[in-house]
Parts: sequence; structure tokens; C-alpha cells
Amino acid sequence: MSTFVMPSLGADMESAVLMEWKVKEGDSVSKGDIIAEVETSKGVIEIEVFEDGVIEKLLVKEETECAVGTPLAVIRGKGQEIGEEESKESKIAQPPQKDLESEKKEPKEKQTVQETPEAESEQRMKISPAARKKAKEAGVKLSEVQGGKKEIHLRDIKSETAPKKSERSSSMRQAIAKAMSLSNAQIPHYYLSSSINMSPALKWLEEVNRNRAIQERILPAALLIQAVVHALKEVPELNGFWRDDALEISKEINPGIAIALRKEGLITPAILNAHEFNLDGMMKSLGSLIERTRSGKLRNSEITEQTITITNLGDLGAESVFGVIYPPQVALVGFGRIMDAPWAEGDTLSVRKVLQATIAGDHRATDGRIGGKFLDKLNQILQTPQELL
Amino acid sequence: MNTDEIKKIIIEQILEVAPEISEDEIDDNKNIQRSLELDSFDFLKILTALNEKLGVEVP
Repeated sequence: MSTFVMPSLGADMESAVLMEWKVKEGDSVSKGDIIAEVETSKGVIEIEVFEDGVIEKLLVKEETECAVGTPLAVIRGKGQEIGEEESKESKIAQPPQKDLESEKKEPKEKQTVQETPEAESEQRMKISPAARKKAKEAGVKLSEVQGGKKEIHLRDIKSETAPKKSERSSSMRQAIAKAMSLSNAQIPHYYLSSSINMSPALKWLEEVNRNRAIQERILPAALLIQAVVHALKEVPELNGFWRDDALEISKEINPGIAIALRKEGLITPAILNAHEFNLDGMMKSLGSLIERTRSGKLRNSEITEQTITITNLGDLGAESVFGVIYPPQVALVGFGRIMDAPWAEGDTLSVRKVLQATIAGDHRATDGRIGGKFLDKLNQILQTPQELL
Repeated sequence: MNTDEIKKIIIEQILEVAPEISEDEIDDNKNIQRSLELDSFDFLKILTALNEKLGVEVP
């Protein structure tokens, strides 16, 4: 018997709303099955189960907000009998749940508290004359200014009358803010950049695409991801995590791809097991990932198991990008816009399609030598792209 | 099929790929990739759809 808890879907997540159960009590499930959908700041995420078994009990109702670690369901392992003691235990383990409805009621209670007679509460406060005057002019109730403060000054009234931000920043903005602040506070970044001649790779890709129907064509974005994956096989030190003061190299290569959402923010879901794909497989996975990111249908493994991040600014972006590493990852690969630029080869100067490839590395985990080796490998691979197919 | 019909189909496909965009944001005289922030993937999807709907070969 085991308890299935609300998984953490990133260092920035504290809670999520369980939107829908995809299973009912008594259903058999196997590892990897989707058992629920939860709503997070990253959109609706499908939650996979980690073991084979039977759903013994669902502990949480739909549309309930649950903190990370909250028990959601009891799963009986295959062949296990229903142990009475254990099911009792799981009842006790029921967490303090925050029901969405009860949350809605809360503000009302707060309001009643505020309705204490004005004069009485004003007596307990020291109010500067300027503040009193300004408050009267602006129609601010002094009892509502700065709860808990014993003195009120002019600046308090001013902040009360200042136009309030019409909308609170979205929860995704908050999540990005948290993760990026953490990164910059903890990770000593180093940055390296290389110019890569993309003419051979793009010419080759054009040849490949010419003989294909439009549905089968491959975009440079997929080629670049494939090249990164191949380079990481040679320089594995950049693919992994910094945990417990040590570099933990990952066997799987799950590049998180920075995907912008048109309205606001971005998500970096992973192409899982990218090292197993050929170029066509990579293109299909990338397409599916982008579509599901924009429609809000990602799986929890896709937003938690990234081993490195790739950000590609695309054909309208800036020339180069120096990224902020998403902890606990140890590197971020950046691609700028591919541009026509002068290119010297031997004695000749010509115009080539040139790409600025960059790497941001965690200096605790690796040194610039490793980052440089990676960029050099990447360049070599892109000069002989037929090996990526 | 006249120009207006073709235009209608093109707009339909843009809205299909990028449902966040409203029709009046689409300006005939602008580079849609730039003005609507379509990435290379969106653009390929639009071209693919046009190929399927209109039977136009895309070079």
C-alpha cells in the first residue's frame, strides 16, 4: 500500500489545484498512466502514476487546492491484500485541505473584522497631522490604513491613494521570478560564445526537404536540438544536475525547450529521452511538445525532468542570448538568429549564414574548458549534418 | 476561387494555429510572422494547412 502525493512540478511550485481524476476507486493502473489533471502556473498538467497497482481510495475531491506532498490517493500494490490498519492510517494522514469554496468565503470574514468603529481604532493610533489632513481630502479611512501599525504618516496615506496595480502579475510571472532569482542567487554562471557557419547545414537541410512533402519537412530548430544532443553525448558534463554539492551527470538527455506562450511568459518542457531519436523523431517530438505546451496538455515528467535547457530565439530574434540556468540544471544552450554575415575561410572573405551559439554554464559543476569543448563539438557536428539524420 | 476566398482561407488557418490572435490584428500589409509573433513552427503549420486545403505546392 502506498500513498500517492501531489508531486512537486518544479522548485517554484508550492501547490496546485486537482482539477480532474482520470481514474476511479478500484481501477487498475500501471506505471506511467495518467491518473489526474492538475492546474498549475504552467497550465494544466497531466500527472502520471509511478507504480503498478489498484486505486484503493481517492483522498481528495476534484477542484481542491493541494500543497506539494499532500496525499491524493492510496494505491494498493499488485498482489497486496487490503490491510485494515493501513487504510486507517491513510485516513488519519488526510491533510488540511484548502477547499476552493472555503477560500472564497475567507475574504468576507476579513471584512467583518474591519468593520470596527472608526473612532475607537483611531484612538489607538498616532496619526500625523499631515496624514490626517490628506486622508480627509482623499476620503481614506484611517482605520483601513496599514493594519497593525501604531503610527500613520503622510506616506502611508499617499500609498493608500496611489493607483493600485489593476492586475496582480500572473502566477506564471511569479513562478519565473522565483526560479530565476534563485538561479542568479545560487549559480555562479560563466558564459561562452561561438560563431557557427550554418551554410552547409542549411543547404543540406534544403536538399533533404526538397524531396519531401511539406508534412515531412524538418525545421532548422529541430536540427539544432539534434546537434546539441549529439554534442552532449561527447561532453556529458553539461547534461545533469548540481545536487548535494556535486555534479550528477544524467544518462538520459532530456533537453528542456524554451517555448514562448504568445500572451505571456514561457515554459521549458522537456523532449524526454532525446538521445534515442533520429532527426525525424526529433522534429515530431518538438512539434507535439510545442502544440501541447500551447494547448496546456503537458505531462508532469515533461516539466520536471529536464537535464539541460535550450533556448532558440528563432529567425526574428536577437543575435545572441546568454541564458539564466534553471536549477538544478547546470547549463543552458542559446541560439540567436541565423544571419548573413562576412565569413573568412583561408584567404577568401564571403557571405555565410552565421549563428551565434552560446553556453551558460554552472561554474560549480564545470569550467569554461568543458563549455568550450561543447561549443567546438557542436560546431563540428553542424559542419557534417548528414550524420544527424 | 478568387482572391477574397483565398484570403479567407489563409486567415482561417492563421487563427487555427494561433487561436489567441483576433482577426482584426491581422494586417494585410505586414509581415505576419513579425506582427503576430508566429514562430517557424507556426508558420510551417500554416503552410502545411494551405497545402492541404488549396493543393498549392510550397517550394
